[in-house]
Amino acid sequence: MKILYLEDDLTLSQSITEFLEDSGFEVICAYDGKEALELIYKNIFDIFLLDVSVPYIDGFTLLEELREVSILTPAIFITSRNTLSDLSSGYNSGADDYIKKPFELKELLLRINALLKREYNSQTKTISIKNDVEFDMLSGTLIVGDEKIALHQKEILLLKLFLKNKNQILSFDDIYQNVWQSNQMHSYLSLRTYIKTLRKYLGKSRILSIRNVGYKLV
Amino acid sequence: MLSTLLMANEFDKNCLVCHGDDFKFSIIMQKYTLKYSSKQRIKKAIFEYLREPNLHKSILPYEYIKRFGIKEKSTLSDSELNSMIDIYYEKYNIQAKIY
Amino acid sequence: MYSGEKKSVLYVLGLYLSSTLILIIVLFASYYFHEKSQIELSEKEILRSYTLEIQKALLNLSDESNNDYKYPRFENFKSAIYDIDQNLIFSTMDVIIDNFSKEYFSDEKYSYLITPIKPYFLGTAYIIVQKQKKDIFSLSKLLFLASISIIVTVITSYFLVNLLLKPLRENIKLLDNFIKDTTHELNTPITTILANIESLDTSKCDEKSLKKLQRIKIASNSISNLYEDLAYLLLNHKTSLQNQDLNLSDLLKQRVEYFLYISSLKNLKFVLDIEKDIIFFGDKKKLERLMDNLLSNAIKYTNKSTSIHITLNSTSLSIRDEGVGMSQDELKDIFIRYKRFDKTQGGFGLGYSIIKSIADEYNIKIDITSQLNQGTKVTLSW
Repeated sequence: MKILYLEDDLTLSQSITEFLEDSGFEVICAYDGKEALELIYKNIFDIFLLDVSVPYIDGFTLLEELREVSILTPAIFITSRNTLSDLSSGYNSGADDYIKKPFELKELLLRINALLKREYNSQTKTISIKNDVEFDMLSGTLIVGDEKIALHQKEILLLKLFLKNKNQILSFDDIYQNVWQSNQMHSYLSLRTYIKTLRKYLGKSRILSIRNVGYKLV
Repeated sequence: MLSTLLMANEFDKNCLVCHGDDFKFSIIMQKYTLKYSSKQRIKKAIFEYLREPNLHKSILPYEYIKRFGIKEKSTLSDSELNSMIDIYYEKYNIQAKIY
Repeated sequence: MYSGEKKSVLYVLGLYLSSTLILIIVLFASYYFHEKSQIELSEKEILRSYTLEIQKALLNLSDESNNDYKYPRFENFKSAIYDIDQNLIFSTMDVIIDNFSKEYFSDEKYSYLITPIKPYFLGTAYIIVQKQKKDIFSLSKLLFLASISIIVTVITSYFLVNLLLKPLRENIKLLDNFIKDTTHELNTPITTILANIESLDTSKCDEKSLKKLQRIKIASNSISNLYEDLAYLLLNHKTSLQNQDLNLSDLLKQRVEYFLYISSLKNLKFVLDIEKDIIFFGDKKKLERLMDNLLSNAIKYTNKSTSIHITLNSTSLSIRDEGVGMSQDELKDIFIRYKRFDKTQGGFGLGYSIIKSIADEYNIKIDITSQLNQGTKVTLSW
């Protein structure tokens, strides 16, 4: 699980990053809005953790921009203020949750996990796909029986995308947008390969291909 | 002094002979005063009448003129006429009688 | 009185007084003119009735042809008659009127009415009547009343302003006391924190814990500094000044070292050009605070992996960063308390205000040059 953490106070940033990494997440830090934007376009994140008052582009504006280009990654705002207007700004810009400084680390963790569970529609940290096939959300590994299967990064992203949109048709565009980064060229051939790999573990019948449209996980 | 006496004589000759020195002559002055108010205008009006007497300029009512007729044009010179008028005004003006 | 208060007092006072003054003047003036015209009206009426009497009398006289005419005399007024060319015919008045332009006029003692008539009874074209003027209120009495009301207004305004400002003053006082108390109370737990960190036996700590302790220390110092800065500015809190000869070079180097850890987090480099043993006569704590504020501003507003250039010589100290920079407008506002150009960051924006405050105390001149996205250079000179 990759988190983008935006916070300009260096000491605090270090502290929280350390805690999240200890909890099993991969954390990339940004110290101002501009930097955050760059990192988001260059990477695919699972959660945005955004402090509201940062230099260049503040948290609210940043998220608004991202939502406008359909980056729907769940986002949590961190703020010192908690007036009603701030809350509404937050939710209006497309935040999923809100946490006020100072906060307990435990609370932060709970909220992050809650968001993830929502995303994957699962109450547990590992999603059971088949009898003995599970997907560990946190580490991003596929567990078949007792074995941990290391998947290619894009395969993991693809699998995550399927799990988030179970029983829904994913168009090719949807897939390209969520699996490839903005600066990368997507490739139909590579996609076919990834699908093949996933089918190997999940079962061919689990992933339907819909001609000229896309795929669907059932 | 002498001139005044002489003038007085002239006045008798030219004016009083016809008008007579009674209340009627002073009524004329009253009428002129009522109509023209100030010394200058009164004298001017009299002069203009005497120079060219006619019905319109007359200060007396129509009935009077009808009865007595318009007076004859004066044969006196302008300056003589003015002197006469001066004397008339001296003697008969209302202003002097107010006290 | 608090410093900002004086200005607002003057504003409020000025506004109130000027508006009330205008009101009073307008009221008294309109009363005066109203009374004047009322009196004029009644006088005219009376004078008209007198004129009528004269006119009647003249009419009667005019009908008679006497040797002389007795001019009508009345007890309560005097009169005069003038011909059409404005020459006097007869008068019982003392004055001769030469200005016939106004129908009604008055002087100190009398009021007059000129009436033209026709026909010209006894040659009269104008009748002028004169009567004693009614004793109206005197202008001076009115002015006296007006001044009284003005004085009353001024006195009440003083009380009004005080009333207005009372709740404000009380609020400020409350705030002041709160800050004073809080500052002192806060420092105690902070001292506890710092003391405990210091005395912790770090030999038994692993690297991770050491790092955590370091962060706690920095954060606690931040709190302490923040509130001290706040107290310093807000309360005009002039702590006892202990001026002494200070080695500015050493002091500066010390402060730089203090900020080394934080600056390293942003991968910043300090480039020092400090002349040795520069002596300055001042209070150690104040100059420390001055430098701390300069340095923390530089660190905060500079970009990652850049350098901060510090130069010190006998007449100046300059700090240059390669950071965000400021626009010309922002430069102008910089010293206004609490105004920060970068509203996105939290905090109070005390930095530059404190710098200015301390600099002013020691007659240090501050010069700031800045360019957007290139950096800021702050030069102090004495």
